[in-house]
Amino acid sequence: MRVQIEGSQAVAQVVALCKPEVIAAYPISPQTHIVERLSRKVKQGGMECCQFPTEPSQVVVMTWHAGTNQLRSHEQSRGLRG
Amino acid sequence: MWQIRIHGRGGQGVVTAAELLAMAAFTDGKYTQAFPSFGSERMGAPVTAFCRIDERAIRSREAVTSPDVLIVQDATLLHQVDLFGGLARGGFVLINSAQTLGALRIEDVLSTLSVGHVCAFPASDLRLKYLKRPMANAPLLGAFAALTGLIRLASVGSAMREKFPGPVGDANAAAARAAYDYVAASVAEQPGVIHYARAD
Repeated sequence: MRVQIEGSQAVAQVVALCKPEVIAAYPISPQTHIVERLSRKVKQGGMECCQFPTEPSQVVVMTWHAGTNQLRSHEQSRGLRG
Repeated sequence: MWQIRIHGRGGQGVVTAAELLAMAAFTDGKYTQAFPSFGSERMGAPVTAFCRIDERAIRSREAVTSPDVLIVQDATLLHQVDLFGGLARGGFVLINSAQTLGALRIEDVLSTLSVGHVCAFPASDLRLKYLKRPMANAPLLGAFAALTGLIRLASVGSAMREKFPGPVGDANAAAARAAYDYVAASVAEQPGVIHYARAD
């Protein structure tokens, strides 16, 4: 069966299936829909073991990389700055 | 393959229009894709979104540079952006405007298009009859179905109900149907270059 799905929603579904322990969130275009979907999934249940810290910058999100080994991170397409 | 380019301004639902078009064509059993150009995102800034529809899998991920159909949600862009760049010979043009085609001062473009492939109609005004915000995208997609015959009106309605469950989806589907009926009737009654001054 074929299903029509927005690319970001498909990414979010796959991320959820990977059962991450931490999703450090700094939504910014063009990955906003991914983080939005994941935040809903975490809130609605089904990802009980997952922390969802909301962070003030992509650099702070990077610090989670240093402290965790099960982290999902999306950056904006033009890359990290600052 | 059909390539569609949609022009408008931030906040007018341009990106959503491309997505709804792809959803409708998918319901019709086609392969589709839709995506916006990635640029500054703010209300009022010129926005472009793209849609491709084909009978087989689509490999290209490039922006649409030679569209078969051009949808213009905001007629104030007509003389500000190179809207008609790359428009295919025999292509279709759909413009949201309460003005006649003559008043829009695009004679040079009109002369290159086939008879019956151009339509200007007040989509924003039409939508205000169904919803409080004058978003032109829903009526334009209904008009797209009538003008090109590429997608079914029922699929446009189901895409809107899927994307906006509840009364908003129903109202959008109704606005699309009204635009479809309006354009289809006008095409039947007056084949040739189509232009309308008013929605009612």
